[in-house]
Parts: sequence; C-alpha cells; structure tokens
Amino acid sequence: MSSDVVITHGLRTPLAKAGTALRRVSAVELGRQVVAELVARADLDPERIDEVVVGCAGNPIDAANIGRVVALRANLPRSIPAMTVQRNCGSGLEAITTAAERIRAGRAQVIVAGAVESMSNYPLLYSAAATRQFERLFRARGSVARLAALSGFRPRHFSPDIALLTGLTDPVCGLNMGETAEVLAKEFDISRDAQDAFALRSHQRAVAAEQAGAFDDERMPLFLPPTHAEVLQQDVGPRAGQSLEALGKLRPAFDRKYGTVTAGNACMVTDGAAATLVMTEQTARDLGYEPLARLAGYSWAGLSPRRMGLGPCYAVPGALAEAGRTLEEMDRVEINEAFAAQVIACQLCLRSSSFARDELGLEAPVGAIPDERLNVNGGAIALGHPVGVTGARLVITLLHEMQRNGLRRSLATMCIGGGQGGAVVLER
Amino acid sequence: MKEREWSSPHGARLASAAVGLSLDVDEDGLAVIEFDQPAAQHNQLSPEIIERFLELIQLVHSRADEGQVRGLVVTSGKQNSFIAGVDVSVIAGVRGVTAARAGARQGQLALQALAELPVPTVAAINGTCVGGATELVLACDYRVAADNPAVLIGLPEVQLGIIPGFGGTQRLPRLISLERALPMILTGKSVNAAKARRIGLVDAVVPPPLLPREAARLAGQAKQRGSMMAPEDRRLVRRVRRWLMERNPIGRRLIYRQAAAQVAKSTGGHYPAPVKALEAVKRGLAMKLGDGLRLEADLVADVVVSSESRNLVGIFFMRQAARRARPDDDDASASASVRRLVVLGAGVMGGGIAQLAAYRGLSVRVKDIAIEPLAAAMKIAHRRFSALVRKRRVNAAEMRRAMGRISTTLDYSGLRRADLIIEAVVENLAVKHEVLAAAEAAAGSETVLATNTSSLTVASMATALRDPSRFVGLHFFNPVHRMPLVEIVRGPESSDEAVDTARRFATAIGKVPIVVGDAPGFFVNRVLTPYINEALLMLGEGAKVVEIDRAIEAFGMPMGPLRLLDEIGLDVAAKVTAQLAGVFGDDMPTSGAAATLVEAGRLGRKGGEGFYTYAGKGRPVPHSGTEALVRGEGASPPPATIVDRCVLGMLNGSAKALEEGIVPSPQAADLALVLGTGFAPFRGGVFRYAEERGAEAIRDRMAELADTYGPRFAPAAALGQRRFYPDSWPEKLETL
Repeated sequence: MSSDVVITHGLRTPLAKAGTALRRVSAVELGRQVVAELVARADLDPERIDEVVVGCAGNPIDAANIGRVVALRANLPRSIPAMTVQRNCGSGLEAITTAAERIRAGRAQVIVAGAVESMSNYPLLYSAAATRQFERLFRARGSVARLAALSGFRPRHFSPDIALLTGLTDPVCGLNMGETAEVLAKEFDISRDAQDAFALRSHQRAVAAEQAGAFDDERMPLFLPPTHAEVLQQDVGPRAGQSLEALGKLRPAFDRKYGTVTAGNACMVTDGAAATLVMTEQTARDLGYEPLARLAGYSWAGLSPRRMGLGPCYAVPGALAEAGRTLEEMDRVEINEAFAAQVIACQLCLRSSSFARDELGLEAPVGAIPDERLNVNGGAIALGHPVGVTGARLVITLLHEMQRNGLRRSLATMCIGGGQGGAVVLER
Repeated sequence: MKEREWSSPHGARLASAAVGLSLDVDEDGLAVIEFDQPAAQHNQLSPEIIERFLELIQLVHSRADEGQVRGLVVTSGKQNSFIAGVDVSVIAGVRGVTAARAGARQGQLALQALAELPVPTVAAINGTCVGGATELVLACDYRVAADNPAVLIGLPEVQLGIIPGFGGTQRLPRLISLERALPMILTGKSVNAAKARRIGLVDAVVPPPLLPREAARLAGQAKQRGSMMAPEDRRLVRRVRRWLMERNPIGRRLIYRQAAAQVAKSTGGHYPAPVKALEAVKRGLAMKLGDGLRLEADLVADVVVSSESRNLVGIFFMRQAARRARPDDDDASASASVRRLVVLGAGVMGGGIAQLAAYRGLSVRVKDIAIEPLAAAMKIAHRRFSALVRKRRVNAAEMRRAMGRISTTLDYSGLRRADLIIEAVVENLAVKHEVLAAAEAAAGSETVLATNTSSLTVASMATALRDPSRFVGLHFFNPVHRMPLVEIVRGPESSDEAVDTARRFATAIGKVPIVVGDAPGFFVNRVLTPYINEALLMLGEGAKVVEIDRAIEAFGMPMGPLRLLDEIGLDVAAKVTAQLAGVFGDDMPTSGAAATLVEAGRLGRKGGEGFYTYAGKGRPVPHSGTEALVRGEGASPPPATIVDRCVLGMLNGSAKALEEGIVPSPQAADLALVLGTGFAPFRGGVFRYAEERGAEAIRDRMAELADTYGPRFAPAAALGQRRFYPDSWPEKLETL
C-alpha cells in the first residue's frame, strides 16, 4: 500500500546565508514559525496531528529533542509526541520518509514532518583537553587546589573547536565535504568552467523563479524576533548580478593548487526551516484537502564517504523502482546542489552504462536528466543549503512546481555527508 | 475540588462545614479552621460567617486552655482562592453610621480573639486573599503562602470608596513597616506571593502541595515570632533607612507628607477614602492597637455611608452584571466560547485587539493587505508584552508563548476554524463590504463575524453578508489594552447566539461588554457628541479653553472636553460630528471649531498641536493661537454653567438613547459612560448624578438652559417619567 501516503501542504521559511538575516533566529524559532503557520494555513485542528517528526543535522544543545521543542513552541497540544531525526544532509527528507513509514505501519494518520537548521548558531566548543582542565577546576576544593587546577590551562585550550567546520568533515575518511567534491571533479574531469557555468545557471534560474513568483506559495514571511518588527520575505542567496567573470575570480577553496571547487560553485552554509503535512490519502479526503502529491517511492543508499557526492546515483534507482517509473518519466528533477561538480558527476553517472553495470548491477543506464527539467528554479548554490532542511525544501519546491504547471511526476534526490544518497518520487 | 484533606482519621471534627467553615483537631493537637462555603467559587466574609468564626476561635481557646490544642491553622477549601474578603453586598446593605461602625467592630473583635489565642496561629494562603481576608491573616502569628500565581494579597477597599475596617490599617504598617504598608492601603494594589515574602507580609512561600505541611510545622513553633525578618530588611542599608525614616518622628512626618501629596494628586480631592485611610494609619500608629482599632472603625463608618462609596460600589455591581452575560454564566464558559480569533486589519485597533487576545490565551490570526502593517502590529504587540514583563505581569517564557499565539497572513487562509472574526479595516463602507464578504466565504459555518467600526452601522455592513444573523458590532475603544469598555452592537438581524459569542469574547479578554443598539455612534460616541459640542459652542461664545476644561475636571472627569478632543484627534472628531449632526436634528447647532482647527493644521495630540500644545512629556499648555481662530467675544460663564451645559447635554442625549432603546437601562448607560469616557466614577454616571441632584431640580435647570441656549436642553421625555435607580441602591444586579 505504498500509494496512499500523500503530502497535502508544504511550507518553508526564506533561506538566508548563515551570519546574515537569520543569524539571531534560533533553529527552534525558525521551526516554530513554519510549523505554526503550516497548521494555521491548513485550517487543521491540531488535535488531528498524531506525531511531529523534525529533521535537524546540527541539533542545538539547548533543545536536545528539537522536534518536541518546536512542537510545543508552535502551541501544538502537549499530548502530541515528537521526535527528531538525523541523517546529515538527508535529515529533512528523512523526516518525510519516517512520517510515511509510520503512517504506512498504521501508527499514525497525520504527521507534521518538518526540518530546521540554524547554521549561524552552531556553537564553538572546547576541545576534550580543555574540557578535562575545566573538570579539574570544577572539582578543586580550596583556593590552593583551584589555583593548581588553573595553572594547568594552556593557551591552546582556549582555541575553540568550530562545530560548523568539524561537522562538515567526514570522521571516517577525513575529508571535508569540499574535498569530496574535488575528488569527483578530478575523477570525472569536470572543468572549472563547467562548474562555474552550472553555478551561474542556478543563480539565473533562482532569480527568474523569484520574479515569476514561483516561491510565493511555498514560502512564508518570517518575523524576526525578538521584536518581530522586521520581516524576511525573500531568500537572501540568489544574485541577479552573478556572472562567469565574477565566479572565475574566486580561488579554489579546498585545493589551492589543482582545485576547481570554489565558494561560488558550491552551496552556501544557510539557515532555514520547512514543514509538510503527511497523511493517508483517506485522511486527506476526510479533512477536505486536495493532496499536492503522493509519495510514490523513496530509497536510501550508501557509498564510499570519499565519493559521497554521487549518493543520488545509488538512491534514485530504488525510488524509481518502487514507484514503477523511469527517470525519463520524471517531469522535474531536483538534485541538491551541494557542489556543481557533484551534480554534474551525478548526471554523467546516471546516464552511463558502465556505471549502471559496475556500480548498480543494472543492464541499462538509469537515464539522462535534461537540463531543462533539472533544478528549474535554481538550487542550493543560489538559494543555500540549510543542511538538515534541504531534503524537505526540495520536496516542497517540487510539490508547488508540479501544482503550478500541472505536472504529474517528479524526483527529489540528494547526496549526504558520510556517503549516502536519498531519493523520493512524487506523483499526482 | 479540594487541594488537600486536612482532617486526620484519628482526629475529631469539632464543627461541621454547614455554614461554610469547619474546625478539626488532629491527634497532635493541631486545630484547623477551614473556610469552604458550599456552592460558591470563593469564600466570602459576612456577619454570619464572622460570628461563626468567632465561636470557633473561642472553642479553640478553651481547648487550648485545657491543653488539647497546641496550634491553629486557618485555611481554605477552595482551589486557588483563600477568602475573597467581605461580601460587597454586605457593605452595600449597611445603612447608617452606627451600623457601619458595629459591622467593623464585629470583625475587629473576632480577629482580636484570633490574635489573642494562647497558641501559635498560622494562615495557609493558597490563593486570592483580599480585604477582610488579608486583615484575618494579619491577625495570625505566621502567614505561609503557596507558590502559586493565584496568590494575591491586598487591601483593595479604597477602590470601593471605603477603607480597611477589620484592623488592616493598624496591623499592616505594624507588621511590614509604614513605607511598605501605605502604598498597599492607599492604592488598593495587591502583591503576589514573591513580593509578599520580600516585604515580610508572609513568612514563607512554599510549593503548593507542601502548604498544609509547612503551615502545620509553623503552628508547632513558638507563639512569639522569632527573627523572621523581611528578606529586604536583612540588608543593612534597608535597616538604616528604616530606622531613619520610621523610628523617629521627623522621618515619619516626611513619609506622611509624601503620602498625603500623592493622595491629593491621585484623587483630585474627589475621593475621601484614601484620605481617611491615611488618617487611620497616621493617628492609629501613635496609639495602642486597641485604640487604633476603635479609631479605624469610626473612620470606616464615615466612608461606608458616603455617596462616593455607594456609587463606586454600585459600579462594582454593574460591572459584575455586565461581565455575566447570563445569570448562570461564569468565567469558565466565557473563555471556552472563543478560542480562535481572526482580526482583519493590522492597524492600531486591530493590532491592539490581537495583542490583548493573545495575552489572554487565544490563538489569533491577523490579516492585512501588506506585510508592513503586520510587522508594525507585531512590533507594537512585542512592545506591549515587554512592558508587561517589566511590570512582572508575565515572565519571558509566557511572553514568548503569547507572541507565538499570533500568526499573520496576507490572504484569507486559516479562517475556516475561527470562532470569531473581527474586521478592523479602514472606515470605508465599500472596503468593509469587500472584506466581510471575503471573510465570510473563507470562514466556517459557525464563525461569528464582527466589526470594530465606530462610525458606520452594523446594518449598513450586514448587506454584504449571506448570513447577517452571524454578524455583530464589537466596538473597542482606543487604546485597546487600557479601555475596559466594549460596546456589543446588536444589528437588526444579529442572532442572540452571535451577540452572546461577542459578549463572552469581550469578557474572556478582560473587558466589560455592554450591548447597545445599532444607531450612528452607538451609545458612547453618540452621547459624547452633545457634551463635546456644547464645550465648543461655549468656546465660540467666548469661554476660555482652560476655564471650560478646569470646570469639567473639577466636576470629576479625568480631563476636560477640549483636552479629550485633542486625544481623540480633531480630524476624527470633526468627521464624527458631521456624521452625527443629522441625528440630533436642528435642535443642536453644530460647532465648526474643530473643523477650523483642522484646517489650520492642528489635529490634536497626535500632531503635537490642538487646543493645547504638546511638547515632550511635559504637561500640555493651552495653544496660544486658539482664541483668535475660534473663541468668541463674550466672557467665560461660571463653572457651574459650564458643567451643566456639558453634563446635562450628555444627560439629555443619554435619556433619548434610553427612549430609543440604544442602551438597555440607566445602569448600562452609566457603566458605559464611566468605563468608556471616564465619567467621574464617584458620581456613578450621568443618570446617577441626575438622581442624586433630584429629578425636579434637573428638569427645572434644563428648562432654564433651554430658555437661554435653545431647545436642545428641553428635557427628554424619559427624564420626567421615572426614577432611574431604586432606593435600595447600591445592590447586586442580575443583569444590566
């Protein structure tokens, strides 16, 4: 009974590059506003919600189960349980598939599946060595002992561990995410020019989509606490004036000597939140909702952490198979733009016979994704990549893109730090 | 529901709860007197209850003498409420000075018996504790309060025009110091548990479930108080200050002088109660407690029979009746009726309503056509909540929750589940029609729609709706959070259910609703028009701005009519006057003075210039350019004439509104005027004022005014027909 889970509503906040418009807004507040507004817009009696599932990659320390905190702050009834899911970049997509699974298992009828990320508010941490010194200090009794403990501190103990950088470094292979993109760029010989051209197109498409009002239905204005006097209405990232020339001037960020991946052809570290209403088709009918789409199939896959950017190629076949569809049947495809090189590499691999044979054990290639169907409203290079939110963001963008253009099928897929891929097929 | 069972299975019940209080003694010799009046939300004191209480105290005393009782706890069986003081009906029913003094003495003697018990006595305060209840706990050796926001301890007597009469003016300053007691006694403001602890009014604040145990523990201590000093006084600076101020005659004189000045300023000389309360404290503190109590009883007797007190008590009853939509209503059903509110239009009024509703726990959705007004409304709400946090009325977490109850929208989404939708968009009929029709289409089938219009009628808007029966007027006054009145306007097709919903909503957010008829200006603005117009006419005849305003302020209004016009905005007033001109017909010549000032660019306070000039926070000064523009040739009439022309003009307008059924009763009219315009509360309203002055005297005076100034003063028929108030006034009312 895979066909009967639907998404009836999807909403996201504006996305803002970390350290800009949303830097003073906590992940909880981002989630609160989007969940409250989703429920309000849907005219949904909150008592009908069975569970809240929230994806978040960088969980704030003051909201250990941020899903629960968001639900309570959004004034949902206390009786509704909530949890947080974490699959790195796939966390937002995981929230939706987890919701679907619980619904299919008959454990819930209506789930709010959301995602939050405030990369601006990732903390600075003390190293383990510094922590040990502090422990000594806190345990010391008497001024002499305290002085002795203090004398154990060294300047290096006060140099913080930056959670953002540590989090973006793979603990297994030791590469950071940008370096994994360099691996793919070199392996598939993807030129700097090709990457920059892809990045430019992302900006151009995002700017055009904004002008055409393509985001109006999927995006809510966000009131900035504490005063709420200022409102963020648009995404901060897309640059109307972006040019190949400007992109060309940027220096490689991860490999100074041979590198091609720059800040311009990679996604931005970003803040944002999103939420969807997931339910059975029958419940949607009972509540008087017109579903935006059915969750026709989805899949998660693993691969070498060094080549994590190819994750989509491993996940897409499974999702298509469950939906009983081919890649060519997809009217729109969103591949998250972690890095231009990585998306281009995915396009190459998906249409490669040898990749299909050697890596996937398939007789034929998965298929080609024409540029005019791929990331038509721009992607993370322009809009930004709030890590744990993007999966949900891709789905929400596709839901509204399909509705606006009367399209039937679409695919959202993304690479995931740590060497995974996720994919979802939506149908209406 | 009881919070806790006091009686021990091994103990003995010495008195039953039939009349509302019981006495139990457990095996350890702990006696507990519990107030729990059957079928009532709160316990209240009355002569019967006090007599019963005294009997129980005497019983405890004799048992204590026999060694069977070692300590006494006084407590309440009500949830979140200790004792709500003396039943106001009892105060209202007192006739004559002698009876008033006897009533006070009865309470004093009962509490004196409590104070003189040979065993330790403890008050276990679990909630509201006001008036006589506060005086009761003051007579105990120890007071322990539950850490519960419902705990409010105070002496609000002056708010009803009387003073504490069961020893409050004597025991409170003796317990917590003069400097801390005077503000509580003179303003009637209550303190919460934390503050009560800080100032030494209670000895401990404990988690609610531990209240009985802690009270019992204290009752096992010595009768003499140990060093349970107010935490504030533990600081040396405080102790030195207290010694300097209170322990010597010069310091005390300074405190009294400051208090007297404060009282004079806040009462304007119209309210005798705070003056008497100050006298009771000042003279009483110089005496022995017993003499001080007798003095207090004498002073109480003076104020209880005063006209000011009777009118304030009357307003108390009217207000209570107005907030009870039906006799069987209570606050619980009021709050249940509207949980989800939608406000259309995020202007000053819409934003104010949204903020208040969110504060009171409702979920609110605000719609406007642009994001800027929504952001402005959110900003103002945030500012308002911040002020509440500063005043410690809410804490930061509650503020965040309340702000979180407000959502915003640019379209008509999220209206389907609304219980009530209030439109507060621009005063333009075409726009209102469009907005109301769209809201009705988006709303659910049960949703009540309301308009906050002040200048249009409900009937004129109802035509835009498919179902006008679900539509009413909900006229708030500006500023929304401060003005207690809401006029509920019953349109020609409004259903009883819709009126009820609106009324309950107003009650739930802390307002006083009064149902009025659907005529231009509804009630308050309608009768304010002749009042203000008369002031403008006098100005045209040559009266000075300050003299008009001073005469009216001396009458007891919070501000004169011209100053009030500046507050309303001269442009708004000119528009309303023009709209209402037709209503009063040719009898009322309309002054163009407001319009003239508007033409000169003077819009009132908001523009910095009107009849007065407003600069910074200082007092407004009369604008020097007024005389040349709008003042006539003649001289100012005597103050009595100024008052009569304005107030009797308002009276005549009110009487006509009564005849036309725009307002249901003289009581409703008077309450609306007191709450909506600030009409001198101690005068009880315009009809009450007429009643006290004498119907005949009023009619004669109006005939005189009619001869001199025109037929607008010819007394309305209603003024000749009947009495407006019963002889037994003030008395509890079932409905307005």
